[in-house]
Amino acid sequence: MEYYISTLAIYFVFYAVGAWTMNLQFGMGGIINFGAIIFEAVGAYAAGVTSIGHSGFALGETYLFGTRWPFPMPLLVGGLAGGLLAAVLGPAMMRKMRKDYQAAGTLVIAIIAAQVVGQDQSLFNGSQGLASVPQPMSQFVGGVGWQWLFFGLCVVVGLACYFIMQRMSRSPFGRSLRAIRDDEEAASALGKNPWATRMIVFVVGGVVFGLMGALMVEFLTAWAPSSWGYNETFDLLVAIFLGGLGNQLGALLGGFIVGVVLLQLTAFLPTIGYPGLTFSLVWILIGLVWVVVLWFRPKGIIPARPDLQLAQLGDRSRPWAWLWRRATGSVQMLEPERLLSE
Amino acid sequence: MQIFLSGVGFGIIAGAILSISAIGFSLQFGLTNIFNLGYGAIMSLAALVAYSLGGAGVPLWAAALVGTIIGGIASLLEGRFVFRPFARRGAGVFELAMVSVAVGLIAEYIMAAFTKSQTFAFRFPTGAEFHAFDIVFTTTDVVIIAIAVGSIAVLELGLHTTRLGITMRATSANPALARASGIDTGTVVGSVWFVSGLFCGLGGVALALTYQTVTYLTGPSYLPYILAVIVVAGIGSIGYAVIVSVALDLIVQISGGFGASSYNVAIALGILVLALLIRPQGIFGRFFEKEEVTV
Amino acid sequence: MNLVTSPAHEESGTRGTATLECRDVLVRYGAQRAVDGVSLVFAPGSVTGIIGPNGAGKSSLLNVLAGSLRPDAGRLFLDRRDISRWPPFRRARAGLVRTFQGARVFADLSVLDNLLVAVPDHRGDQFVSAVIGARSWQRQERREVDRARHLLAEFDLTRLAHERAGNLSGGQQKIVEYLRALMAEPRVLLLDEPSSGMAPPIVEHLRSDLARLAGSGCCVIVIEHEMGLVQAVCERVVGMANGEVIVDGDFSTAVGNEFLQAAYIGRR
Repeated sequence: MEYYISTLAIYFVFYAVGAWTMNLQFGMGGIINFGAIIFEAVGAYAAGVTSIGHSGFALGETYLFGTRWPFPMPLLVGGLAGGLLAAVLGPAMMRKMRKDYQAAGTLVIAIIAAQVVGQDQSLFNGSQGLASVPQPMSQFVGGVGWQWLFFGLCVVVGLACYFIMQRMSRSPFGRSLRAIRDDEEAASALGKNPWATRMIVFVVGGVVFGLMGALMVEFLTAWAPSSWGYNETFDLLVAIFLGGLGNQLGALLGGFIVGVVLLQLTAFLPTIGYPGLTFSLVWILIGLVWVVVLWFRPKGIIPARPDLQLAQLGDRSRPWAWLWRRATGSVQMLEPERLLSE
Repeated sequence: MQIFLSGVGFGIIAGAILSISAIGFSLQFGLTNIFNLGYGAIMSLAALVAYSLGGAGVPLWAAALVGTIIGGIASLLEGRFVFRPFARRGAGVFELAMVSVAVGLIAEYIMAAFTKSQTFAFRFPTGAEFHAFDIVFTTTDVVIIAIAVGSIAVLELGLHTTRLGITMRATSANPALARASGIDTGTVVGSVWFVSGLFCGLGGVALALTYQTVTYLTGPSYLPYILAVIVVAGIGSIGYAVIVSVALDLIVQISGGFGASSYNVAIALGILVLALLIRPQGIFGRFFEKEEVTV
Repeated sequence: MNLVTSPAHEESGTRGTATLECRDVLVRYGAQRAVDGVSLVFAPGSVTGIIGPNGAGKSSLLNVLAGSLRPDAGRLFLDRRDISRWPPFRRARAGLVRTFQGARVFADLSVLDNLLVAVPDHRGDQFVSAVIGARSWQRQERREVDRARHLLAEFDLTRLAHERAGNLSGGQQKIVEYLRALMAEPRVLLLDEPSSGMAPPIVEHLRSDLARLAGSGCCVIVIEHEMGLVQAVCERVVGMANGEVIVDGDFSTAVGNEFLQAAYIGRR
């Protein structure tokens, strides 16, 4: 049981950080990045190939590169890979275009990329993917103990990412980002470089996603294109929308609902009908909930609150209110209505 | 040489299917300005219906026809009972795209539940083989190409000669003006949903027939290619969608024949990324800057 | 306190002054010439008014100077440097700041934040500094907040400092946009109809402010219809019509020019 809970806890961190990051890119940068999963994948593969060892040897797997670097190198490589891919794809994925267009475009890139990697055996062992990825620190602790240790690692990494993104947001840099988001032409007229600024947000997001992917592969010890298929790309999306657009707390909640409750807990339900039916039913439920949320509260379950002014940062006179405002107001850019009705 | 020719052959048939599917999408998007990411689900629906009917003994042509019509009906229903209410409630293009994703997911997984997520083999006699310029086509291939060409021709004709077709184009170009001129945009929109749905269904059925497999994922996994065509060709006239579809598939199939088969998908990806990089509005089309929706 | 130069620059004195020059600028829309071979030099510390009837090409010229409109021909120089191909943000960083015709404030930011966005060379604006933490940029931020508050106080907007900019009236937004431009420490300031929507007492305030700006060496270029303001503050007036410069002299010379008068009344 404890084993299961610790697994859930780890998944919660994955979805939460993923949702936060997508939220950041969306809310702060105005970037619709529906291809986020592609950065998780590249992080997973990079971490994988740098920890498995030479290709072709045991297990009959073929893939690029191949070496055995000690922890935490593969993690860092994963993050780096994510950032690099973001730097390369950024110019294409972030061209100024209509939001739904950008959504479709980035989604398509992710889906096709999954197919490319899946079919090419030499890149990352094709559709079978990588397996036998060593789990870090497993030589010290085993079993449930390791699960909690890894959870701790995820929390540390997650919080680090969170703090970096928070600092980006609550600073003159974040203020400039918001201005660019609000009126790009006016912001340019004041010396802001919209493209460069957005690229920074995009690449940072890429690094975080890459780290998440790396953590994921070290937890699961395996990663294949089926892990980042058509449906998985929607997981994060739904999480953000359910939780609330532009809202860190909401993203957390959404991550919890989708990642933990819907996707993992349901594995514990009794099998109705044929095996796999539950899975389909869960997704139908997700879709229905999403539609309902979109109908009644297009902003998500926890609506975002109007932006805090940076000049008010120091006001801690009412701690709980301050905490609440911090949590819900942090990445909020524009009122979500504006985002959604554009 | 043989590789090249068979690549051409595959390219043509795949291009025909892609054209039909892309035209359906373009028709919808062009008029309503809604990015219907649940389009793939309807393709699967049509294919599955055709498959079940075929399995129940209905002659193939009838099954295909019913599948196509189901595509039209499903599209119309979605337009009327999903998109319109949301749009009336004030949803913008982005929110509607999200709605389309959600509805698409629901439809897909309902189909998955019914089919137990299986992949079915669509077996039927493919008919005699034809040889043209050393390329081998089966009857099915020829019929599909013929239907593709025929339906596109009929569509073009209809858009330019019939009253409905002309009002469709007028409404697509300037909805406000059309409304002000007394055109019943409701009927026009409904017609477009239906006609584009027909193409959607036809595309789904053709996919199933050509690759001889059907599953609830048939449509959704094909959607990226449709979107790739839309991105590259833009929303413009139908001819451009056809050209790009065929060109894309020819490139993919021919080069795929020479290199490892995995690379044909990579090429589609590369083309898409390049298109987004260079001209997000497409090589040919006008870019729909407007953000209002016509329902 | 010098309100034009931020404390950060008072020491280094890097903002300084600048000369703006445009040569043979041509802007075509099909067969129409919105700007037809305009060559002008704007000296530091000068206040130049650009007047003319609607469609004379004033805004187009301003957009070319600011970088948001690419001319079909012609060159631009800022202090002898060819800036013709510079994108708007680069020009702004070099001190060439503009305002827009319809006040474009950042609606979802507070008034104070609007002003603070404009601060050039803010350490907190750089990604690395932002990540390192507030300690590296807080001091500068406090000074800039002071400066912004002073500007707001000047124009009686202190109570609106934390108000969402989008909630302000048109006239108030105009002022905010103007103050925002000041925060950017302009060496060359391009104002597009700054007084439209402003109440007369504010216009008067603007007049004295512009005079003081020019006194500090800033080169000010103003497109205006409000002749009272033009007469009061512009020592040089350029009259345009049909994309060309019709007259270039002091106020009375420009206004007295018969071609310009004719252009105002009807097309020639």
